[in-house]
Amino acid sequence: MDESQLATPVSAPKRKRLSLVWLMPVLAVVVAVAVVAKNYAEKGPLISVSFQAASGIEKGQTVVRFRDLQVGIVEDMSFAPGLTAIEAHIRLDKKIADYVDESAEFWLVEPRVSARGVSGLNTVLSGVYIQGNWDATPGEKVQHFVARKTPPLVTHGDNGSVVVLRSRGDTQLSNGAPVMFNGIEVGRLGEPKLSDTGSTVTVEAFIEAPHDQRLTTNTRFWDISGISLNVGAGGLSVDVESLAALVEGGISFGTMVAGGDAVLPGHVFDIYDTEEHARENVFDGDSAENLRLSVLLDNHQGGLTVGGNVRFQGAKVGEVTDLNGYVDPETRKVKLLVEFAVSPSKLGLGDDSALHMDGLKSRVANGLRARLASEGLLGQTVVLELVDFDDVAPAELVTNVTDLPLVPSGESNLKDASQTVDGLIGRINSLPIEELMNSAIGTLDGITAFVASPEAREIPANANGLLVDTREVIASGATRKAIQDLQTAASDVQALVGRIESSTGLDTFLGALERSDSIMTNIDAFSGKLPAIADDMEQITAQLAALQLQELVSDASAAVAALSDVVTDPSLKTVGPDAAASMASLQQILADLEQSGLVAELSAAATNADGLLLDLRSATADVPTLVNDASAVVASIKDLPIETVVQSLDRLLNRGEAVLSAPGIEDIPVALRNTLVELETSLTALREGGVVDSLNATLKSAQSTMEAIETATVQVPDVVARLNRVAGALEQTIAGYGPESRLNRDAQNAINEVARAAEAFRSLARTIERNPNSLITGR
Amino acid sequence: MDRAGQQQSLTTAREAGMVGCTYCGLLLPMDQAHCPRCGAGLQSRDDQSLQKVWAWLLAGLIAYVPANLYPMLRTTQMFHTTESTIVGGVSDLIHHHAYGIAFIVFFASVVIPIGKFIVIAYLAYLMSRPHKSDPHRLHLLYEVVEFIGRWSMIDVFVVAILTALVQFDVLATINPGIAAVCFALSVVFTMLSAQSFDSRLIWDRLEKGSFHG
Repeated sequence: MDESQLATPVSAPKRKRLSLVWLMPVLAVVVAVAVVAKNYAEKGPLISVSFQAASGIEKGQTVVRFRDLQVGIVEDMSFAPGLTAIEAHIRLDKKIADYVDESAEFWLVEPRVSARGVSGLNTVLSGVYIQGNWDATPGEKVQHFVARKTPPLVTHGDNGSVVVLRSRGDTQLSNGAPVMFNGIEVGRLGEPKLSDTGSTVTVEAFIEAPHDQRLTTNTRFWDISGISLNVGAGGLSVDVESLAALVEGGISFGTMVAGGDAVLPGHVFDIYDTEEHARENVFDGDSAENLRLSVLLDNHQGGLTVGGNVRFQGAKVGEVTDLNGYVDPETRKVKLLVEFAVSPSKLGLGDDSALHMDGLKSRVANGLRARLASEGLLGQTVVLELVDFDDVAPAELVTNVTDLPLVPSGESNLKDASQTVDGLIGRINSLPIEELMNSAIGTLDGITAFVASPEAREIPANANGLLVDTREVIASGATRKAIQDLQTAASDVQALVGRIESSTGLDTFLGALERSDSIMTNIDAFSGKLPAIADDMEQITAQLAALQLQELVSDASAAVAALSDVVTDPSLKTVGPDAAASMASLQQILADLEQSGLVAELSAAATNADGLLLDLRSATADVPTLVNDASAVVASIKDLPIETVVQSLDRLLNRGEAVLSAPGIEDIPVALRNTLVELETSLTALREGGVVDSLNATLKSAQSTMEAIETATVQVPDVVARLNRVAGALEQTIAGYGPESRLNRDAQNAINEVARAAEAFRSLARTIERNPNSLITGR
Repeated sequence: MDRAGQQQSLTTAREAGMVGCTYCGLLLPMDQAHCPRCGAGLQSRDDQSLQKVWAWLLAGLIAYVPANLYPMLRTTQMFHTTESTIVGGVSDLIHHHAYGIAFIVFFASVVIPIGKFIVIAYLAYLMSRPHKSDPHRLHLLYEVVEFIGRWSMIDVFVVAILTALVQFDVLATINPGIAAVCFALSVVFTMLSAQSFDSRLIWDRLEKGSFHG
């Protein structure tokens, strides 16, 4: 070779050596292999999850999270065979791969805006992610999963209980709606599911620990969704439990009665419409233990509804749960298949659920039948009734025809009810309601007319007038003047007597007594006649006593009002002059006597007069009796039952009040007015009437008596001496009528009584005046 | 061949028993192992040149694989992270109708490195066996490869500059991917490979006139 001839550098022998540079590719390979090996070693398993749609899942981007920690990533997306789903191929972390077993579930977390807030907001920018959920025990690996459409109700790690709620279907529930307890959210609802028949909706509810400890068999759930509007006496109240409950629907629960048993997970509760309804049904027992039965009815006339009551011997034992048509395969007749649930304990089937069916079978064999019946006053509600018939064709509980055990049906009880209703309505129709109403209207009209009548309004005025009149009478100057006049009259009489006393007649009389002894004999002879005179005098005094003073005083007291007229009567004034005249004549008589020498006789007679005087005194002893009598009369006047009268008047008024509320009341005002008018007229009559006249007459007769006395003194001068004595006695008598006299006091008392009575009447009148309707309503 | 005929009359240093120092250019007699001026080792021909070329080339190739498989850039925009490889980035640019930039990136990151691999491998292959290629053209090829090889680093520079500039946290962040390091390594290895090639080998064939017989 040419190369061997060429000069080579000294280092030429190194030619066969391997260059150190070869280490570089070796190193690179080693590093690469190491990296690849490490990657491979760390690589978790590949699983696939089926989704309905990709909806934002990107390969290489979308991650899988468990408790918000990334545990995998979507490596690839593909279609499932037949394009039925999207398969997301997910590379899991090796650390977590062992736990992804059968319990694992996956769902897509997307931004979600609901009434309860915004969730998954972080996914708005970062994109969706797949949430994984599995339990904490490793299990056999599963390659393929189907994603959930919604997040599961309970994720592993949530502490609490899951129960099943059953609703009749009219409650608006949605997934994730809150479960409240006393206004606090303690749980949430899962996805509502329709039952196979479509009549009920079941929904799982998750109650967080520790609130799930509150759940017992006595717990009741009720619907709180929507707005509760309540109009009552307290006003309008609008209740919204929570905004979330308003939109999504919500459930609240409460344990109404203590002492229930703890519930197992999956316990079925019913959802009631309202809390009240839930409370009403708290003793209904556990619906989960209810026997579910059915009955075929062929004469259904409508009215039975789902939720209707099932009754046994009048008590509610269950509810109708479903109504369906059923075609009898033999007769091709359409019947109504009623499914219902009853509480076995209320049917008397005992507590042991294993024996319920056997017990029911024997009950059916003994004549238990289901039939339609009506309830309510008018039979408007149709219920299913379980009845024990005594004589009925034998039948048994059929279990193989329908889904639920079939209870044989009995004769419907609806007809009787409708007949009863007819009868009741007929009876109501025949009630004389219109007449009743008319008379009621008439009565009310009458009352209204009475109350509004002018007569009724005039009553107080009339009463007032009457009282004013009475007051006028009593307080009039005439009455006062009458008393004054009486006093004047008395003083006149006194003066008269004084004149008689101070007249010279007495001295002359004494002188005459000294002088005329001779006369005494005559007088002695005359005195023989004196007893007769004394008797006459006695008779006079007796007559005086017998004089109808009582009547007079009663008349006077009755005619107090007319007294003024009496006193002012001119005839009374004539009495004075008459008396004066009679005195003058008396004086003249005495002068005559002096002249006549009769005085001597008189003097003589006077000596003998002691016995006569004794007689006279004994005669005049009757005068105090007379005065006593008069005072008795006055006392009797005093005792006159004026108070009683007033009380009776009061009673009368009370009775009048009572009468006012009695029928025939319209006539009363007129009658009362008439009465008042009559009362007025009678008072007027009292003022002007015969009583005064009679008093006048009496006084006139007294005057005539005086005149008679005058004539007597003219005709019988002898009497004068005795008349003198009589006058003294008379003075005494009249002194009895003096200001300090008892009679006067009594009379004043009587007048005071009258005044008090009038005062009482006036106060009554004032009361009526102030409060006229007290006449009607009472004080 | 005209040129070959002309050059046949030229005398090489080796024929004259001389060796040139590759560092300072001093021409020395062949019996010395070290350059007395600069102290560098003297070799008339680097008998390990091809070995080194192959070794660096292999290392560069190995590094080039992850450089293309792994993402070059990690772009985070509003929580959204995009990882793009070299080819992915080019297709993205084309997708966004940035054809010029796409061409530059594609040329610098794909055409040049791969061209370099091929050219170096071709040269090294030719040197180890008889060939009839024109040494002038081979030399030109070698010159071009050596010159243009450094431009492959433009990609790495772009990544480095972007990474330094675009750091706005959530809004936008660009981070280099593992491929950037691999690519840089790959470029460095291929440059070393080109440097290891002793271009004097090209002309030895001419001296021997092997293709003339």
